[in-house]
Amino acid sequence: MDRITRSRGPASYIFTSTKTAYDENMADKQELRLDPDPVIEAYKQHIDLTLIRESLKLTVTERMERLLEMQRLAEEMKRAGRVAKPAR
Amino acid sequence: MTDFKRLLETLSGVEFILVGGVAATAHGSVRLTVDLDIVYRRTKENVRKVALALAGVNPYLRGAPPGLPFRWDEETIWRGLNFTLTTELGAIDLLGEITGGGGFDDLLPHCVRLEPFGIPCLCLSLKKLIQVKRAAGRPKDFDAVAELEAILEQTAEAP
Repeated sequence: MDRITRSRGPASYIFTSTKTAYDENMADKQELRLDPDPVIEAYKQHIDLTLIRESLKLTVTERMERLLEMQRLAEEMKRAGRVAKPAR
Repeated sequence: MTDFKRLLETLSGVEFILVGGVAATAHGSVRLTVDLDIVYRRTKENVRKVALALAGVNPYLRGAPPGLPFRWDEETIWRGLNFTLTTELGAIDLLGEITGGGGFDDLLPHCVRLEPFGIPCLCLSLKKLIQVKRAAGRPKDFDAVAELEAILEQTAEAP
């Protein structure tokens, strides 16, 4: 199982040593209400939905692995930037 | 670079909830984050586990000058609440509470269970993550909140 799920298994699945273990009754008991925020709505205009749609096709582990790849790329570009020379 | 997989393995047995950028990644965010943010439970047993789990990766206060006396143990955790740490495995923010969300027990009803790299852990739900990021009110989060809300809309539209 790799996709995000609400807890459905036995409470002992994750925490076996605590009295107040996590169980299915604890998942999102309260319905959260999110009213539109005009500032966020403005920011939303610039979100690339194609990237999000592709991301949502991945499993959680694949998303984390992609994050590690992004970190490696960022590190490499920083390194390259430090030793960059004028083009001519 | 932060080795998220090994950090999660290191925290095995600790009661914590993934929040922040890595939680956003788990929900589908495509933004880069470089630290692991977790809310840990402030109980005697769990604080002991946190201290033990991270002791092996040499935690130190991130941004503090080298040589500053810093002892990592249960007492230090009890004396503080939120710690921004650097470790041999990368950066970790160890949070006792978060703005707009409270502590572990407050957040627990708003968690989903997931298994990145096969490691079982709890992660803040997408809606709650949006709510706490909104509550923090930091301009640097506006773009992240917009992306999370777009993800929420996309998942709601999915068949």
